[in-house]
Amino acid sequence: MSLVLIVLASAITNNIALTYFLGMCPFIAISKSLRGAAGMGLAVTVVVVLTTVANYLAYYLILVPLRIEFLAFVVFITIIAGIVQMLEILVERYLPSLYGIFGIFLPLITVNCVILAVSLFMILREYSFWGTVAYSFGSGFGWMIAITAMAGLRKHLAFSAPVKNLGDAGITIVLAGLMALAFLGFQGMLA
Amino acid sequence: MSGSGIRSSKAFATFVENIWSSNPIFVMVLGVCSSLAVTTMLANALVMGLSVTFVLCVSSLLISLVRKLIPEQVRLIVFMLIISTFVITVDLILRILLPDVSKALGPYIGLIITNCNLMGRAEAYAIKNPPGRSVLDSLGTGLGYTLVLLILGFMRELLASGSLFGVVLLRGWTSWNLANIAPGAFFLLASVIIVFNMLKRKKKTAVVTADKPRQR
Amino acid sequence: MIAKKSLSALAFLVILTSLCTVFLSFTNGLYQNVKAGRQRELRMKIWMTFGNQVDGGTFDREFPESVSVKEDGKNSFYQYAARDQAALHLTGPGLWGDIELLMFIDYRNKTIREMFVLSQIETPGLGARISEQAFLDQFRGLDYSGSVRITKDRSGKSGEVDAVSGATKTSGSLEAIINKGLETFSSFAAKEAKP
Repeated sequence: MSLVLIVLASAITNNIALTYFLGMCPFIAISKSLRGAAGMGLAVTVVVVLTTVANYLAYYLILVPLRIEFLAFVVFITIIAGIVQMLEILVERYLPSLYGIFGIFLPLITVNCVILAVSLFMILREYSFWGTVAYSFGSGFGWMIAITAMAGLRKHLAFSAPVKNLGDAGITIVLAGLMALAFLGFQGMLA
Repeated sequence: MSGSGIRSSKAFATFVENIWSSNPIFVMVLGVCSSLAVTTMLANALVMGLSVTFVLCVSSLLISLVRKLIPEQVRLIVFMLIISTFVITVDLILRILLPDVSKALGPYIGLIITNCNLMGRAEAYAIKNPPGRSVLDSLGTGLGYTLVLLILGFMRELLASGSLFGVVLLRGWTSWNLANIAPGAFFLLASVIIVFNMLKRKKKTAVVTADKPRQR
Repeated sequence: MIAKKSLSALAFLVILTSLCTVFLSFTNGLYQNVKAGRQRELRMKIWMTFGNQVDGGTFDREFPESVSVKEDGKNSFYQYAARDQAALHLTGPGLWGDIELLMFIDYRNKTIREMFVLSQIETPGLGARISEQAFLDQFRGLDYSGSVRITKDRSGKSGEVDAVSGATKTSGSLEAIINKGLETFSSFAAKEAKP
């Protein structure tokens, strides 16, 4: 089933953080705690699916027929900001327990490159509607896997002494490189 | 003391500071995504760096010029609107003037919008300072960012293809494919960070020793 | 009081958005002009590859008379009925971005005459090698009556070419673009065959 292939490809073999370098800022900053990482990953997954689908509809139902595709960037980022804002309000009011888990990350997400990038790639690759759902879900989920794995790895840093001049960001980047190497091993999986 | 607004020491100090000690990538760790993705070729790295610098300067200029008119509640939306407009402009200009580079950079040009540096400079500086200073502040940030991209692009293209700007410099060079693919980019960035921090530390100790009172 | 503030904020946004949209439309207009110019140049190249001379003055009339153009999304199909040849200008997704191809075919014999990669941004040294002449030469005279396969495991059937080693995804993407383009072109031809 090609939808499953899309999910697997975007989550694992072409992981959005480790192959396309997207979402690096929060990847480095928030992977310090496992809880934070999982929360952020969840937030990103939810937001990315909602916004990519919304952007898909906006692009093909409004921008293309009116031949104003060049306004895509502005429209997309506005939709993303709007959805994130609404989500924040809804979660805070109706699902307060969830708010504690991932609500705090929502304001940070608007400028997270992952969200906008998935929409841009979706247009570039001309996915169908369900392909878009599969792709956005796979990307968000893959990002979540990467950041939680990273948080798990960083816990072990407490027992080691990395090169001082690397700093926090530096060692995270090295770890990301090692993870990317590992994920390369998945390449032939979906041949 | 004769002072023209731009040459005044504070603005210039900010300019220099943004390039080095508050370098957007090494210190603030902002905008790392594009720096890894587009640096496989030095030419692409240069164009990306200059594009970011351009968008930074122009949006800071505009925001600073109208800073007294922007209503408080829609501040962030206005920033996003202005930044996205100029990013689209840069994208169109690149498609017209440099179509090959534009295709190479692909969606990463659009991702300049989410480059945290842009919102950061707008919020931290441009909204409160006169245009001349804001442009200088943005220029410094942009140049610091471009510097990192150039360093990475230089290393990656040289190691992976033995060339710079497409001109083959090392004949018969066995390409280090690691420099081309994702893990290599991470490792190279980490190595550059190490060097940067080493230099920073040396500078600090030099300043500290210079300040010590002379022992008699 | 509060309503007035919100109203002025809204007014500001509307004005700003309008200004931005006007500015962008203007810039986009410039781009569209350049794009049209480039398309004309490509058509001249196609005309010459079909074996004709390009006469600057009459080209804009001659070309549409002899070549029927069909567009489907990002793909354009130029059919030169006089010699049973066609040029397929295909664009499709690769690993990092779009791969743009210009493929000349002889549709009576179902063979590919020539393949050009107009643009791609695949990994340098790996996927990017699809632009190398040695790789593209494989497509000359290739029979596409089955489907075209770009693979490392050659079974000796017709329609196969060697893939670039280490570039499985790019090879797969390229194969998909070629086959989809050929399929679409065949469906156009089939529709015309029906009276």
